[in-house]
Amino acid sequence: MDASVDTVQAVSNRTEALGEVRELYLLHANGIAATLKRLTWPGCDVDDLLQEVFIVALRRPQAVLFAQSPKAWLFGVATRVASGARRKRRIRNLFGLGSVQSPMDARLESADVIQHALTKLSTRKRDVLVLFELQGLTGPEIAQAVGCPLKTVWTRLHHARKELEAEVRRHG
Amino acid sequence: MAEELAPEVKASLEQFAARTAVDRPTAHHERTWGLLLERSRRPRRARWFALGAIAAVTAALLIAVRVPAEPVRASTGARWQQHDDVVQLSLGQLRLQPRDHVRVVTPHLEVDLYNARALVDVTDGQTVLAAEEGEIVYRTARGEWHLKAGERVVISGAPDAVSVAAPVKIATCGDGDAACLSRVAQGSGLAAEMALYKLGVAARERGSLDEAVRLLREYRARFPVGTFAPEASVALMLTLQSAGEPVAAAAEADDFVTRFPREPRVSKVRAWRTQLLEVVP
Repeated sequence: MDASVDTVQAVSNRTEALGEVRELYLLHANGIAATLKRLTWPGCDVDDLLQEVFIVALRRPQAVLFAQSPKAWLFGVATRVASGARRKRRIRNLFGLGSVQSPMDARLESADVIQHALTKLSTRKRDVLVLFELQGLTGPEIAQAVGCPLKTVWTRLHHARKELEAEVRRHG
Repeated sequence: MAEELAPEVKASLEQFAARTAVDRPTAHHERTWGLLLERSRRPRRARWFALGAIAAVTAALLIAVRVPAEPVRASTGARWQQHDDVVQLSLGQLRLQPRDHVRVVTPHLEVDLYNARALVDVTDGQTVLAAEEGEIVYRTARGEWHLKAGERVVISGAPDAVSVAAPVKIATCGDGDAACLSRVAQGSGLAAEMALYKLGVAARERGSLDEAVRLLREYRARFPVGTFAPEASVALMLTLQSAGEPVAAAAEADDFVTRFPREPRVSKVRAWRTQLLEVVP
């Protein structure tokens, strides 16, 4: 009897957790998709990466739902998913397996100085800059997302801004 | 908190933000939620694929770096020669592990090895053949015989009157099992050599120097070109020194240098002998 009660409870909890993750998906999908777009390259399959982010959440619902800030947790996963995608792309390019960029992509990259400048920043600085300046996350939220102390967030942001400005001036 | 961005950079950033913004209606996400759920329930094939790939690469590397064993290894002082896949052995011991086929001819028998590992030991008047791995075929004047892994045969006497001993399992004794070692030492081949040598060393270690000298001299008499002949000689000279017989020990050292001139320990034995005679009155 106890076992069946536990099973029902587990199913009920899971259904509840699924519902809550779904709410988070509807609430943050656009923001996370935009962040992924900013952290990757033009032409990247952002929808696929967005699904990867929420697959992580679905496989570990307790982690996201009990996080201090579920939003920061999701954006943290998004930065890691984007980083993984860039790494895979670099490996594919290394072995000559990368897709050839279309002329449209090339034109977009040259036109968009910010996009180009962002690619020149280190991963850590770029993540902080994008989350703060473009996504509007607070310092503590970014600290939770990228897993570093708050002061480190401000340091990275300071250097990221300086490097971005220098890069924009060079190409602007 | 950090300072603000320069206005022109901020403007560019806002333009970039507007360009990269995603503003899909909630209905779109509700539609894709089902796909997302379905995808999350699929097994993680990528992980298994990666593990499989790592296992395959590791196995390939292990196979690639495996150094093939030397097909024919002879004991010190063995008299043998090889022409193509035929090895003539007249005295001493050969350990054989051919990659393909090899035929060993001794005064008492002929052995054909195919993908097998065997030990052939020829002493005055007998040949010991031990199969270590695989199955081997040997021929004597009395016919053709098979030997399985773990069995050995002793063929003695003149080629026209060979006596074939029944196959005997190769004995394995613990180092401290003196009764087992004594029993094996009475036999022949590598097992007997090893047992006799171990008995001699054990006797020396427990202080029975006379018994150690007797056993090591017996080893030398029975297996002059045995696998442990150099070790037995060194053990004998040290035992003689301990027994207060430096002259006999020096003679054994001289004998060692003559019998095993290519032994790596020759220079040490020479130096030891010089020191030994310096202290002799």
